Amino acid sequence: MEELITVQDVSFRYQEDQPHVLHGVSLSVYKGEWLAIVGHNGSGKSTLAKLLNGLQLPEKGDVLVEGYNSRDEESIWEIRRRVGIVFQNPDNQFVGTSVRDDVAFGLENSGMARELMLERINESVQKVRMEDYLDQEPHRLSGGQKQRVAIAGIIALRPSIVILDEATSMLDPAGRKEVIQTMRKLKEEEGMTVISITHDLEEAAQADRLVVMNAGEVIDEGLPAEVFKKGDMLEQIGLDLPFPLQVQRALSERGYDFSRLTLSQKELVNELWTLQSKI
Amino acid sequence: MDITIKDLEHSYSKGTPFERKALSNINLSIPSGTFQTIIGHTGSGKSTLIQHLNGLLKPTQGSIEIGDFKIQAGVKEKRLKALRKHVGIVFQYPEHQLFEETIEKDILFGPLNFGVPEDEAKKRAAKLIQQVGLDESYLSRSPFDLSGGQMRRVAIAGVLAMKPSILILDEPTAGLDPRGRREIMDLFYRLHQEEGLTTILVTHSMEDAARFSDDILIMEKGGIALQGKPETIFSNPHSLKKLSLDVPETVQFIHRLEERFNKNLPHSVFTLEAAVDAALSVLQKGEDS
Repeated sequence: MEELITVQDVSFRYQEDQPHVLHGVSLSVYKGEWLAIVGHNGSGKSTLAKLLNGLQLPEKGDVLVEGYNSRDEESIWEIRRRVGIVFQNPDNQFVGTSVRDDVAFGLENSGMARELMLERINESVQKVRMEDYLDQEPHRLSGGQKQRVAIAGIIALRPSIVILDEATSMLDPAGRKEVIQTMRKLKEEEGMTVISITHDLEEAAQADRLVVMNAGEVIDEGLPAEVFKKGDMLEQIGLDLPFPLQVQRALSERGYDFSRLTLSQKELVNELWTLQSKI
Repeated sequence: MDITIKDLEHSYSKGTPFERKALSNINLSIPSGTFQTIIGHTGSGKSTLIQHLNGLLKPTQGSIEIGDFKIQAGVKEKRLKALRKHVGIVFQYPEHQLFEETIEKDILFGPLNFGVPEDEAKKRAAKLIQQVGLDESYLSRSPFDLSGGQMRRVAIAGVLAMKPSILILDEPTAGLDPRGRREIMDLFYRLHQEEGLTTILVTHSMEDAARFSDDILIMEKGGIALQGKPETIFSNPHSLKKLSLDVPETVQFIHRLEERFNKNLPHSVFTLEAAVDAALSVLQKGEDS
């Protein structure tokens, strides 16, 4: 697997008289994977995201994106072209006076030909189902609609890595699903690498790989099914287990033995069926 | 204070080429002390509706009565300030509204503006900071040195400091981690019960809607699509699916169990414990036979 991002022993703090937000973080991101990073508010996830596209620079250690080091001033634009971040709050990233202008902003900055630009705008706006709102002004949109436009603006630029920094946390369940499905399609069809910083452990359970952060450190990493085995650890650091796992744990405590971990309701009901037929 | 909404309609930019109807034909009554939840997709009119409840937006048709206040299309209500003392709104991302040098000053801002004596307001601040889960030593600190979750608690304390009798919460847990979400919702529910508040919660969380509500209102395209008690609303997953909404996970689980085990189970299952009990009941019924 091709390694796109390498984070080597990175420490970071916002000011010299303040405590470190990240301590010796090392991490690899591979081409075409969906990597979920989970952790509670203040665990350092979002700071890490800012280091991944050179918005912040490490105090110690290195961040390499496709071979470019973020410490190297001439590399920074190469890095930012490759790594797009969709932030949590859409109001802070809406720059246009209409949906169309907002999605066009990044494309104009990259000097794209008008014809191609119009094509890209229509395509990405359709992917987030905002095509009926192309001429709307941002203040007439609800928070969720604005966020969908922000996502359109990022995917229009076709970066090789998209970081979703809690980007779906303001969407309703259907909107959330739709955005995740859109990103999944981009990953499948265009080989996009996705890093999703999230509190949504249901979503994290569907990732290819999972990184758990706590107090500025990576404390666990692996396949979702492996990480979720450590339910107590996840709860201790303030994360909620997916519902099917919670039910399974409560039943295990009452003496029912399960052959495997159930990450979805379907799996859980099947396991219960097997258990009942054994009784 | 009872709330009665009659034939409410709201159009943005009325009388201009940009006119867009955001609400129409809303009739709703919320008796004092109710926990009312409002659910709907982004753009369904939820936020527009709640902004009418303290006069931030005026109806373009119809009327809203709150206690003995009446806001009516085309009629100027002169007592909006008095009304706003009774109706507290916690907006989305309330932490963005913090602005004072210290947390205490920020909490005091509302009450002092409404003429509460400083001693009394300070007493309230000291009590509230603890109620929202921070200790008194925070009062002298700057709100901007806090984490996002802590800032939100301070902002909520600022709204509570006005002692509203109606508390409106617009997606109050958006962006918080699971523990933060649970703590904030437990706080609101405790206040709702202890202070006898009328609480109006706008949320996307079916789990919260199921757990706390007396009544659920589902909005679509500026109108009311469904209304009823949680057990009624969630007993019919098909009508929710038509609106692209889900039932809570606990209810989904019950439906899956019923289908697989071909058994009828109680449908008002809104907590993990109740879901575990349902799972035990299908397992144990197996043991009996």
